[in-house]
Amino acid sequence: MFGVAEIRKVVPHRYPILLLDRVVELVPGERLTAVKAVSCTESCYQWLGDESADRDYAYPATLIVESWAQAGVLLATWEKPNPDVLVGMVGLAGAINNVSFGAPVYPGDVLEHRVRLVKLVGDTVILEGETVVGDRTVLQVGQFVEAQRPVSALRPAQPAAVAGGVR
Amino acid sequence: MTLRCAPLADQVELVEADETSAVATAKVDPGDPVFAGHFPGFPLLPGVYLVELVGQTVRAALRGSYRPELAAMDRCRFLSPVAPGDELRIEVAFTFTGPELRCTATVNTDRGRAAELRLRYRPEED
Repeated sequence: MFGVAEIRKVVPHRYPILLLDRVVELVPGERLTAVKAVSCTESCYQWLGDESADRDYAYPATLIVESWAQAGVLLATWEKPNPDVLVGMVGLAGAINNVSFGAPVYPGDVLEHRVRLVKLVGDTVILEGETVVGDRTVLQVGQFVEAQRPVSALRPAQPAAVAGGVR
Repeated sequence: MTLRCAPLADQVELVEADETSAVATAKVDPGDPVFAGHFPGFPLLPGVYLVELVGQTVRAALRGSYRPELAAMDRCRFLSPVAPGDELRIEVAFTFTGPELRCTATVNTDRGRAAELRLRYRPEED
């Protein structure tokens, strides 16, 4: 449906932490499906060497969550694109609940992130979904609360709560 | 036992540890390449990196007797942003339920609480 060039017009994440390759389905305000191909050239593999075993190449669970969350930000901000945090808002994870991980993911796998919008309250959005690789579920996300905050409220000198008011 | 793939190199300094708890510190490396993209002109540590640092703390505390692999994030609150150069204090309490390790952690910066995390781990398979 669309690729990285369009993704960059909506979300502020950039290399090396833009972890989405393509959006394959988008129903604004409702749901989104995006894919990310895992490759052994990613920087998380830089510390592995010739002694490393197959199992060591499991893609970090935290990066699967980050990649899924970026798909969530894309859905949440589709109608209010926010490609540059310095002139707009920054979308931050306020809460992540009931997340579980399934089978490991390896280089060559393609993550398919499915994100559904559960609720939108002001600048806070609640999302849920899962990530599959083929017919294997590798991640389930029960609740992801993302809050849009003006960057001015987030200067380290003036810490502001980013957890949304929605529980 | 060889090194697993990870988004950031081991960087926690274990301050104290016993069978059910651990405390570690870490300084957020301003040179981490992630900051170029998260976000350009406004570097913030991705919240999931705090989950990684808790995992490093647990791993350091258990010294190879149990190699934790993240199985679940039951409840995570990200309360204030973490910036390059921040000094983090990571406090973890953990209990074993069979092969599963349940962990409650807090991460603080000099400005106060950055995150509260409830995580579950399973043992790494060889």
